[in-house]
Amino acid sequence: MKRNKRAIVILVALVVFLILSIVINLVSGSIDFTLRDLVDIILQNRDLSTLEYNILYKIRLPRIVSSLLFGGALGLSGFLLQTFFKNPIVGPYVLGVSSGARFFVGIFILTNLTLEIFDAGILSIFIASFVGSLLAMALVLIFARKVENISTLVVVGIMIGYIASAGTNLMITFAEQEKIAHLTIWSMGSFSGISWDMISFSLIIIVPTVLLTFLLSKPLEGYLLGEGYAKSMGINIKAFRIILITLSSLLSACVTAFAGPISFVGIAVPHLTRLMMRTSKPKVLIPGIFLLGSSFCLLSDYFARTIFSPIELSISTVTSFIGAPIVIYMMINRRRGL
Amino acid sequence: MRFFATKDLKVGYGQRIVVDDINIDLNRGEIFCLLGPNGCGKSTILKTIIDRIKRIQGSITLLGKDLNSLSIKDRAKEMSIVLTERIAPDMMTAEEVVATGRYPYTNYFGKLTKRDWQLINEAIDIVDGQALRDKEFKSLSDGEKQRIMIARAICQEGDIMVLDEPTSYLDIRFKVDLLNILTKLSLNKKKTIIMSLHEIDLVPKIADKVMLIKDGHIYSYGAPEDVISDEAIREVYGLNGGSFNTTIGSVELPKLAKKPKVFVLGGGGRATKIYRALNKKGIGFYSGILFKNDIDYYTSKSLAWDTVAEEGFVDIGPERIDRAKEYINNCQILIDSGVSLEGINRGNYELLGFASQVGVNILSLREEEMDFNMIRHPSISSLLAQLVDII
Repeated sequence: MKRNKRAIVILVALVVFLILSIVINLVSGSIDFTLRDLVDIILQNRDLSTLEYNILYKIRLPRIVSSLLFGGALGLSGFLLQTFFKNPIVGPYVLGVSSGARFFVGIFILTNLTLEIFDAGILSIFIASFVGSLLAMALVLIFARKVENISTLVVVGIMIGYIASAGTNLMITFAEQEKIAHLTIWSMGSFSGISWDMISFSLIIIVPTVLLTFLLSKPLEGYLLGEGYAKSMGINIKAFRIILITLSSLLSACVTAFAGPISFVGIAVPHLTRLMMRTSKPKVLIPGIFLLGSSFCLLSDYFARTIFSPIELSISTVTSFIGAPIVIYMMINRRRGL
Repeated sequence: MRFFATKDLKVGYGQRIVVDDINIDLNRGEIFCLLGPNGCGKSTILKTIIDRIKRIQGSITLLGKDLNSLSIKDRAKEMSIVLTERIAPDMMTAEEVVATGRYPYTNYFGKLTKRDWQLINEAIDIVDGQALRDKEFKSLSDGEKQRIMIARAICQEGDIMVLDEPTSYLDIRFKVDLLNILTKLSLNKKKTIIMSLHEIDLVPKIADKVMLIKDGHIYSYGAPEDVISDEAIREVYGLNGGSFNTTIGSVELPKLAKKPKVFVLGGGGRATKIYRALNKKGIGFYSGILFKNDIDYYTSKSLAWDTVAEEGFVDIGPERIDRAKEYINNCQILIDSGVSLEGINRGNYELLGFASQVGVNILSLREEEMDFNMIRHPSISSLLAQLVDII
């Protein structure tokens, strides 16, 4: 009971935190709005100038909505993988899944002779990304059968990621000059240049996937005890494993398709959420992870945009600075714990 | 109809058969134990019964219905398990782990009802785990974890409980407690319990039926009283030199001794510890004169170079005394365990006198002073220390 109360308090706090993160992103940038401006705009006390309108609706809002959506999706994608591997030190980025997706999107864009990725069909980019994710995942799973040790598996995942990245870099090297600029930014991970079309499409993928994940709370909890016990509780293990991988890949593929590979959110966010809530009940963790993932990406994007403004950092630069130390901490602690 | 039965069951991995021709038949509420050396296939059989691995051939039936015909959910209500694999769920309390036992009964979101909580509470009581319930599961000791997993299995309410080596991580107290719990579950709640155990000595005390497995085949199956014999254990486990006495339920290591220099005057259970201590140090010994209904007799048979023994409840006969004297004459030391020297044991008195007379050192644990030339010791360890010096 005590734990449930704690979880609810944390959830409320996370909602407040998310709202703050949204506001901070709304007001700051090349043009700073005041809070008062925002209130006025929302209450329609004041019309916007074209410049203000464009900045708010065409640049900041899509960026905010996509950070919110993709951050939550990455957190959950990591959570699902962690459940699958029964290990908190995995995520779509470390296992090479994001890089696999990026590689395939790269191939698709360059062979499709599209100038910029954003001209290519949204659906086809997503499909390329999904196929890349699944293939990288398949490789990881093949190795997972051979290596018992999870640290080894993580190293294997990182190597798969490097191979995929090398492939992508190779393509970039030989691509025509004018194609490269955007591809390079995208391939490092960025929330800039995401259109409302992409966001609508992502909503169609991410919202049902998140809901489905939430509906799987009960088997997700049962699965925490390992496959042997899970099966004895009446969980259809084979089907469940396939569902886990599919949901996780859908989420990370969608993010990678439009924002590029974003590092460490998938590991750090579920872990931080568990630490805060002190529970592993998926029922409360899933909303918690989504909320924290959103805020995490919103704030990271805020830093990416503002620290060296007008120069913009890639989002992964920021998430790595925050996420990688957390992973190192987790690995060291785990050694000690086991 | 049998409550639980397997017929011509073949188990293994893929096409590789590990154990063949497994025929088990259990009544409701019986306790069944699989016994055999490591790697003999016990776990494979259990894993097949719980459907962790596919059976190769044969049937597993519950009240005549094959388990395969049950849905995975219905099966969960019939059978609960305790596995050897260790689990380490993050951020879960012991209570939460126990509560997962209610999984097959809870609603879509796993909401626990009042009745669920009652059963969880009861199960935790049964394993004496109230003090553990709010602790993080990962932080518990192996033995505590095992108790929690058993509580979990109890509140899953299956009629059948399958346990793979449930006593492995438990110390003696919890071993006894656990087996006690299982016995009660079988008697009071009519749970049918299927498990593998390592402790040969405990099996006859708990099991209604036993299956001995050796190298992938069934060595024997039946009531433990019929199945478990010294001979069977030696063969199944391939004991070299060591022995397991199924009557007193004790393991003895192989004899390490060279030609004996010590005679142990034992009896009444006073000498068993001395025998073991001597064997541990590799000191060979003769022992006598023991009655064949004496506990010392069983250990001595396993460990002594030779045992001079007499039938139970009769006076020690002269030919035994003569043989004992012959042995004593060849020894440097006689250890007097403090055995009674009266009644049918009078022969022992004569042996002490003889030893004293021929100049054999007598090291004695006897409390009272005697007329013979003997060195008395308060403990086996001090006696042994001097004995090692003399030899």
